[in-house]
Amino acid sequence: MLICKNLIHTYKVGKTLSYPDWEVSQGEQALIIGPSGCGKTSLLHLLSGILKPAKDTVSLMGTDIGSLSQSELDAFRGEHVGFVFQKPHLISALSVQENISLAAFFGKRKLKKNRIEEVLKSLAIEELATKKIHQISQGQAQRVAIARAVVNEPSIIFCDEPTASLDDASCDAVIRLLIDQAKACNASLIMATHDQRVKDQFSNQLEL
Amino acid sequence: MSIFFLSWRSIIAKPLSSLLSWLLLTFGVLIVLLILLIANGLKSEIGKNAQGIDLVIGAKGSPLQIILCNVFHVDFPTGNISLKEAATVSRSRYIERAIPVSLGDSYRGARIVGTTQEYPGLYNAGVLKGVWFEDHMEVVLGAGAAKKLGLKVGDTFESQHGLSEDADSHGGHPFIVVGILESTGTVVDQLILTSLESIWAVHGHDEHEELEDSLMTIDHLKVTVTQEQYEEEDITSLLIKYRSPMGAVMLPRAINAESNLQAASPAFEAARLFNIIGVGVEILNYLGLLIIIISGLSVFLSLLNSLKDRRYDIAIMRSMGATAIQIFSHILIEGMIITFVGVVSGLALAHGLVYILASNLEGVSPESFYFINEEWLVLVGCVVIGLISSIIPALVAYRTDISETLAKG
Repeated sequence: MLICKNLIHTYKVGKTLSYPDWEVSQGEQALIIGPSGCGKTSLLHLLSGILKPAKDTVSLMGTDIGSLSQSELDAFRGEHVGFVFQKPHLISALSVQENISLAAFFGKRKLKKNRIEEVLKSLAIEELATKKIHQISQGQAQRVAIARAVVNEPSIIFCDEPTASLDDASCDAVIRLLIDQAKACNASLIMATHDQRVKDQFSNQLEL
Repeated sequence: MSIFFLSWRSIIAKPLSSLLSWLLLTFGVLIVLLILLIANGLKSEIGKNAQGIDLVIGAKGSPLQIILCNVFHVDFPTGNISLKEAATVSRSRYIERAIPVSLGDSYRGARIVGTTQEYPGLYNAGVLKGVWFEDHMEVVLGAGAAKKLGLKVGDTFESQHGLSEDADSHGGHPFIVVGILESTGTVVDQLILTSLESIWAVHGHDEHEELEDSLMTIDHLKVTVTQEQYEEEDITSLLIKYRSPMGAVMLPRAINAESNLQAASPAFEAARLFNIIGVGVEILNYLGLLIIIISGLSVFLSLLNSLKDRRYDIAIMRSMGATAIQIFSHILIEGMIITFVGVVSGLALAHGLVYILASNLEGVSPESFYFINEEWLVLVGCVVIGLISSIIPALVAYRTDISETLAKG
């Protein structure tokens, strides 16, 4: 599913960082854990194709993403990958429903009728569909962001510090939701975090 | 969902700055087009109303006033010239046609013009209802005048002395309407036409018995008068058409130098008038252009400014699979929508205003204001300015480093 071998990242300032080899299998939940500034986010970006890795270093679903062109990489992300970030970062000009259908539009995915409703319902926020972004709470926004990540039924979901600003109860709830949603579409879940609270929930862990 | 929809939504999401850009562009386009349309309309109106009139001969005074009064019927006469003098001067071999005009009376704001049937002929105005004036005190109304005054064939009215609406009326000399002209879109629509004799009769000159042997015809003016009228009566002006271009060289000089008369050329005076107002027009034009450029700047700044807040939005869209080209188009389309809406509303407003203006002006037909070539030039220019204003922000968005932006969270 995800194989990472001899991966090196060169920062713009010239510093290089080499990552340990790692594998995640289909449907597995995995954790990248380490203190702030250790290169978790860069690794996540390299694994997901937001940053282009060197050839033959990252294989995602059998595709060597380092050998894809930029536009192929864009299309690959849109089709197979979902993202959840620390902050929801929804597009405030659009409604909840429109934010979610934006993922389908850019991922060139034709959604089943009721797919958006279905996802919203599974996250218990179906009544928010037509709300504007400034009308919903931060917690609700986080759920909308999760809905946006899973609506295309991606093969793999990457999360970057999704729990960093949450209290213990919310943190548990979000992890639960993410794992449930990933399982529901049989996607692998890879989470980068410095949050020790979530450690126990994952068996496959990469420590940086 | 489409890029266009996305752009539209982000315009709506920042209504104030969008409104500012839109208003600026609308007003810029409005000013430039308004000036263009009015100047153009004015020129075509002048051309239409001065057709077939090469020269106007009147009493000494301002040549511009002679033209404004006798051709466009907006100013007051400079004075009268005697019929005898007019008859003499019109005998010149440079003149192909001379039409006598006698002004000074009106009825509820519509000017009464004593003339011959050649005058409506200048504007190809045929009789729509009724017949031409023949006898004394018969009048034919221009289409617009008939509508405004509410008069129809068979109605009578008493004329007022002077050209203002509150002037005293001439008692005891009622005019009778015998015909109404077709609408021509020229100044003749707003006039009341009658014979020279009727004008003279109203002005209290005793009507002497017309002795058959004292009647004389002035051929080149196509009027028949008594010997006494020939000696005593006045007219306001003669509308001249040259026989050959030589007339333009010889006739005005001869008249202005040798007689008590004054000759004025409509083309020359109109050009002079445009020269006088030209400076103001040019300044307004630059002002409009400046506003258009400022509106372009406003589109540019508003887009660039919004990119600060939208960097993360853009990075998220990229992470969802949007290509850099899609992001580029998203920002470009956003700027172009504002430009396009501004240009269209400026265009509509300019034409609407000109239409209202023209409808309220006497003797001007609004249908003469259609799309003119310079207008397309202005519109294309605006779109180009909009394009330039949007393309730099679009490029900035295109080159957004997604990884860096997302890492900053």
